[in-house]
Amino acid sequence: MEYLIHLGILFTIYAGLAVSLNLIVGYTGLLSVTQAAFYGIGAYTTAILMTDHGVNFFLSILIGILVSGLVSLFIGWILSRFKDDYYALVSFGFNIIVYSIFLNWQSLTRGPLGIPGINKPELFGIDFSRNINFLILTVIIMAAIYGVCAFIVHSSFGRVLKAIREDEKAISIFGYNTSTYKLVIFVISASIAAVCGSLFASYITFIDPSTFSLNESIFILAMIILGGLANLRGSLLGALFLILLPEILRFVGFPTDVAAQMRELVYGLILVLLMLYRPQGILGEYKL
Amino acid sequence: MDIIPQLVANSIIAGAFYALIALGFNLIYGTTKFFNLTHGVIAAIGGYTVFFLTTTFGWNIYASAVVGVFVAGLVGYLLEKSLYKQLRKRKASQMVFLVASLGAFTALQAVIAIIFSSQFQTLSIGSWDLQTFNIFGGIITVVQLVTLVSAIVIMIVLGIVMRWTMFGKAVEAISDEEEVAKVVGIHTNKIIGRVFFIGSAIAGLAGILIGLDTGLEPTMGMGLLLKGVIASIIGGIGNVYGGVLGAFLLGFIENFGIWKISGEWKDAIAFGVLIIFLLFRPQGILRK
Amino acid sequence: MTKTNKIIIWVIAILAVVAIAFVLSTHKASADKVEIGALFPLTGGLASYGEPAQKSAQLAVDEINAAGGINGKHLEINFQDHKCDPKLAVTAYQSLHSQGVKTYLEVACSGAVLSVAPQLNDSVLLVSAATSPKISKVSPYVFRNYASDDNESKLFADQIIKSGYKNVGVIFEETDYAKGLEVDLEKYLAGSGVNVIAEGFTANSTDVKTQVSKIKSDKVDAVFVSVQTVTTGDVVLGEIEKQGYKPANLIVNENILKSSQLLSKYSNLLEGATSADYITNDNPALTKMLDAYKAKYGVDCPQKNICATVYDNVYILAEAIKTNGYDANAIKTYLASSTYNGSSGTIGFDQNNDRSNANYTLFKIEGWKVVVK
Repeated sequence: MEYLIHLGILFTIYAGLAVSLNLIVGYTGLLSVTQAAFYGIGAYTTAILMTDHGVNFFLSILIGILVSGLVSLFIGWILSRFKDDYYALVSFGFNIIVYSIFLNWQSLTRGPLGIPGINKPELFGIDFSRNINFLILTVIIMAAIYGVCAFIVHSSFGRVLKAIREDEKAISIFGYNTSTYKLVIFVISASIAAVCGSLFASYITFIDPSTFSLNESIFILAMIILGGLANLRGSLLGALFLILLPEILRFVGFPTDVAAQMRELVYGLILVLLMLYRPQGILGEYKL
Repeated sequence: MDIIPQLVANSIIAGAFYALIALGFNLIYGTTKFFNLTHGVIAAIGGYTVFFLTTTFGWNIYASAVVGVFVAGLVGYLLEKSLYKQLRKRKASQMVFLVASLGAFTALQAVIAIIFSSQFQTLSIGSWDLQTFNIFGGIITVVQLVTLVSAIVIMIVLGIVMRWTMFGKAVEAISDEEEVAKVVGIHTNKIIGRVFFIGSAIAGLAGILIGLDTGLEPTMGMGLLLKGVIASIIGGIGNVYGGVLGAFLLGFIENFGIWKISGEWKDAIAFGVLIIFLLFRPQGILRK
Repeated sequence: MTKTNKIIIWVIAILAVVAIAFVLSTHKASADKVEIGALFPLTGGLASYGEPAQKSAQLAVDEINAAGGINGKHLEINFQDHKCDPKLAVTAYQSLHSQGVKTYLEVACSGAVLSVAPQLNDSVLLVSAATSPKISKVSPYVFRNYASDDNESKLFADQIIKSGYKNVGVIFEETDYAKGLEVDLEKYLAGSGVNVIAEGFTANSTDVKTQVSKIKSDKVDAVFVSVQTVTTGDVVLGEIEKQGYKPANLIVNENILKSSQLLSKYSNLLEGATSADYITNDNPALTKMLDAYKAKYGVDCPQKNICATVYDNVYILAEAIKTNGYDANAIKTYLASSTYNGSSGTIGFDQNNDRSNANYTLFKIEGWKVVVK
């Protein structure tokens, strides 16, 4: 049972990351590969504030949103000048730069040594160090995130985003400042990722930079591409599938010495086959 | 200041390796206009082929190297035929290509790790390994010298081929507009297939030389590829000379950068340079 | 995509979850075998630790089963990869734990140990080669058959001060262990008047040319090389040799000292170098284990400290299960109070659950031999 609860918690955290990334990649049509950077900023904010300064977990989430929002304002401002594969490449670059900062700002992040002993929150006398309670907490927060994202994509703001995706020039002729829209959605998405990071840090109790590398961004991207671009339910499905896939392979019983590599192989092949036969993902409405 | 000659040597050596990756990458990008991420893993395939032939069959290193270069080219060619050609037929976007090549990259890397294990392996050219030259106080090994010479020779040959042969003109035409090239009677698929073979073979050579210089690991591809991409972009993407110029510039910036800052920041410096270039001179130094 | 298709996909997704739950509820440890879970980094940057660890563990299991198993039962190891990623380590643990596995091995990743530790309440985790000081006392169920790296740096710092070096260059890899040594070294040297010039390189990097050039041109009195793996050790030492640099005094960390491949490949460079270790080299049990490893796999164990401690850990768990049954609390009490003579020497655990008497001592590399300083 604990195992399923654990997978449930991971699923909700990744669902939040995937849904928020879909706002940029699926709805606005910008291939961002830097979600892990903001995920990490949230996680580090919570870890540092809780272990060194005794700040309450929920307050640390708010501060994490603020920090991530400010950083994403700067990164998003630069990114809003690019599009297509150059956008992807520059976002790659920012992930690597932020990762380098996690790794090298020794006095703040403890670098590769990582930050251990991050506490679980407590609220109204509920002890979240029991995994089942923590699952309830993450489910509630994820439901809220999903609600916010669904509201955004169905609002008039969301319709402008889709218009930017389809034809940026045309919509700017109607007087919309597309850069501002692209920037705002980037900051919103980054803030949501920070919340997921705070939850992750508190749940796993130990963080180090390796969790927030470029690979993690690619993993999140794979989730939304698999599940479906510009479809929030698709993101949930993609997150569910990629969280469960290694677990299913675990029980299929590959020979032990190659099992881990086999997983990578299957994961790569899935991406290739999807791109060949269904580039919009399973439930997607928009093709890359 | 006696460090300067060695720093210059280090920069040129690093630049030579980046240049070999950038040459093939740029050739393929120039023709097909997408970021071929598998390019990095193909370098590893070249290196591991040599490793396999020399250790299992006791082949001579030079004969193995010829086969290694050929195998790398062949893998690139087959990838083009089995994957990228299909995607082109479906009129896939650049992003689909990017994600598909990421999938192929992950899968191939896993295959290498399954066959050869994740252990670090080194190649050797016997007594030549430790032979060094002292050039104005900078020390350079035989392998590094060979790399430098290969990079320059390949650049010149490619430059001539692109400028003066029918093949080069056909590549040029496809690069300008594939559909038009088809209409005027160019066998575009055949030409692109050859471009993949040549570009991948150069990557294979790079992988072999890296195996001789430092060593081989299944995961060596991604880092190499990113440096090659940065070099191509700052030098001028799609331009044979630009890629090489960018490679050496990147080598100098990285090595002089970490001389003044610190070694840990090397990757951040590389991507910082990329972002600055994209902001202020997106076409690179040499426009195509 | 039609509505029916969507429904089908969601049904498949839900079925997959139910199927996993079902498999889990039926898949319980069978009565005729004893299972140990191995949480190893089989892929990723530290796979070069995970692979020999896996081979060593399998070697021990095969020997134990050939000798009749545990009280007539077959011993099995369930290897799970976590790439040194904390969340994958917790997932791997939870997965095995749900199948009723109560005894675990880990190797090399302090982060994995630190994140699995809070989850343990009815299973034992026996760790090797993860050296973070934070692991001491992290959980009553975690035991570490290895030294904390706390005192490795202290030894080097004392040695540097005693030898009167004024400028020390450090080349370190950016991993928890290798950078940890560098950070601690600076901490212990603070206020001593020794000037430290530290140059880092990214984990698994293969280009350290300029880092070496910088240290070389700084004309330091001593160079400390702190690497995580044999691979990067090879890269750094190779680069030092290629640039024709012969440091006045060389200090290398345990990972280099314990690799016979590096000791022979760089015998000239490493001659006279100082290092620290806690496992004695001339132990017949160690030689026997290494020979068996070579015979079984056709290759030498790349890092003796990993192979020996992992191999011993399997025997220790087997011994603990044999005398106490498959019960974590009994095993825990047993481990805290008993000692075992293995290939890495005599192993017991202190009040921190760390290997007792595993204090590092200084060694010197002299004429292919490692001698106590």
